Amino acid sequence: MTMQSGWRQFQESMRRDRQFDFMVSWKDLELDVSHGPILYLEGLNVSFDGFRAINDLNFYVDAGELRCVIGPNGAGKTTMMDIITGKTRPDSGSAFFGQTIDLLRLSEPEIAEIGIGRKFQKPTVFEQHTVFENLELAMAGDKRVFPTLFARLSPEQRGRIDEVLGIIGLTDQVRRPAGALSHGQKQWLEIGMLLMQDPHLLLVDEPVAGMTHQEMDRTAELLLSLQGRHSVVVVEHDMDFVRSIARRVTVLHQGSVLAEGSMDEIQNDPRVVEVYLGE
Amino acid sequence: MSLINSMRGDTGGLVMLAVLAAVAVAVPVLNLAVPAGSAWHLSTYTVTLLGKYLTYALLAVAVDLVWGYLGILSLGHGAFFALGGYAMGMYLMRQIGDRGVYGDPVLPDFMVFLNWKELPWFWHGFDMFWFTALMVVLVPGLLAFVFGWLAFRSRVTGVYLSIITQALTYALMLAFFRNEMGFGGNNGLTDFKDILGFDLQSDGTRVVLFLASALALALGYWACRRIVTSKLGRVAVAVRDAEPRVRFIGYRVDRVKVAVWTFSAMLAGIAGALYVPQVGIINPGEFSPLNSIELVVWVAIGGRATLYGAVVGAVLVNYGKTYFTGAFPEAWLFALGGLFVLVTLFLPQGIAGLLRQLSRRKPVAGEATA
Repeated sequence: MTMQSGWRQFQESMRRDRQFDFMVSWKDLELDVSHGPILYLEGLNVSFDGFRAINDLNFYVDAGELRCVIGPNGAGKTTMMDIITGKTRPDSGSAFFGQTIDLLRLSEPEIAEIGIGRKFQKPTVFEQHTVFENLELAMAGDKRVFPTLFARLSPEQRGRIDEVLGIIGLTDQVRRPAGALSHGQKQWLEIGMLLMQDPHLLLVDEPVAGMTHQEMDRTAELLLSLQGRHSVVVVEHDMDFVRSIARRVTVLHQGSVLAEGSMDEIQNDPRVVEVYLGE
Repeated sequence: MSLINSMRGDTGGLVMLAVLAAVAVAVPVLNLAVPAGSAWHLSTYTVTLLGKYLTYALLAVAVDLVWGYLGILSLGHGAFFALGGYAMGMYLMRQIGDRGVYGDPVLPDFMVFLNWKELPWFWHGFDMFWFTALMVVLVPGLLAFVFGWLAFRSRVTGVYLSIITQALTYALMLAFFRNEMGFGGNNGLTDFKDILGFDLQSDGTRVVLFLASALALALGYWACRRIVTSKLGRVAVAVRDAEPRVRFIGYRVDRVKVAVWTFSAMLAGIAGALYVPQVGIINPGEFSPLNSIELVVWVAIGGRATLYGAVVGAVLVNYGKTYFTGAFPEAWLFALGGLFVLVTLFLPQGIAGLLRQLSRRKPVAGEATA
């Protein structure tokens, strides 16, 4: 049995139409979601000075899915995002983007380039730049120094910026400096900046914190309009908001998945009620 | 085409360049064509002084590029200026030939004095102007590249970076003070005779050096303008305002920084190379941390992130320095310190910010369409 599978593995790695894994440049990797999930996190562990922020975490997201992640403070939500985007390296475990792309081998900019975009908790837009310039900077494309120095906007790129402006509803604010936008508008601009990168997977950290109810409704609409074309992971505290957008909800607790399912299942799960909702 | 594009909307810069062009025409005429007795005659001393201001202005533009637009407060830009100056000084030393005090055809005086028998390896090539011109940009550029590569890749930023740049220039100063370094120790390089065969003391050469400084400033200004109006310039400002965000968008922040930083150091080197033949000496004092701090003050007073503000600040402060150190020698440092405090308190945007405020009161035609 082991002999056989070992032989098969050997054959597989010696195939003449393939390169060895370690020789493949990350730029040549194609996102492969043929088995369904776009993100695989398996057996992850992270500790900071003895505190186990992530504890044997297993987490999967399907392609095109809109997933909500909830959990009390310190449950490891932000650390999980940090691992996916390459900001934090896990002590053990694996993180794959599609079937083939090993996220743990890539740097932060490389991860951004293969199509994982992240929206931070605090809206961080470039305050001195106009809305248009913010989107222009975020646009997918050649981001090396010299091509950037000589970059010119093509009509297609202008069209893409206009399209995203429409999606996030900031068309009439295009010439304003981002610093002059309202809190909600900044959050949308930031989502727009993510969209400019044409990401396959969007990580959205607390999108509605500090928003008015109208703004929350618009944000829900915006996120719902993205699913299908993009996979979206939303970390959020606001239960009403989560209920309004979520098909599937994952509950994190003490660094691992406590429960997963529809909002109703989650709310009726006694363990979840105990650690989170019951408070 | 891009010459016009990069100057669009830069009213201050256009005014500055127009004034610079007018001065560049007027100064040679007043110096060379007007007879020495006339009230309109401009002394060669003044021409050289103005030329010196212009090299300072170019240095200030280089600092503004990294400080104003990239958010790197360099307290060691004087080092790149001095390195460019030393490269030019070495060429001028080799030009002296056998006219030195000891009359050695190859060795500069200080080497003969130190009983050296042959030219150190790093002095070879500096008898050729093209080689020197190359070194003027390459040496500061290489140092900046290596320094930037190490510092920016390890994400050293803010105050820590400023302190390291300060240490860099201080270390270089101590090194250049040593006779064994082979750069003339604390006396530095001086007693220059001529450049490209032209007598450094003649009015004509002085005027040409002044014009070269004006041209270098104009070209350097335009090059910086070209950078800050490009997409790279917008990335740089984004790095200044929210560096982690830029990294997440997918830009290699360290490379952006290294590129702009190295370019700025090269500009500073050119400024130093033009400075040395005009003042006639380069010594380790140019590496002094105080110089680098002073030049940050010029930029702050002129107004950061405007480029033309740096020019205005450098020229005004240095004019003030010339005046004060002549009239009240003890008062100068107090005046400079006081000026810095006043500007920080009341003009956080510097002189450029004040000008902008004044011009905003009366609407400027065509500004809204930009």
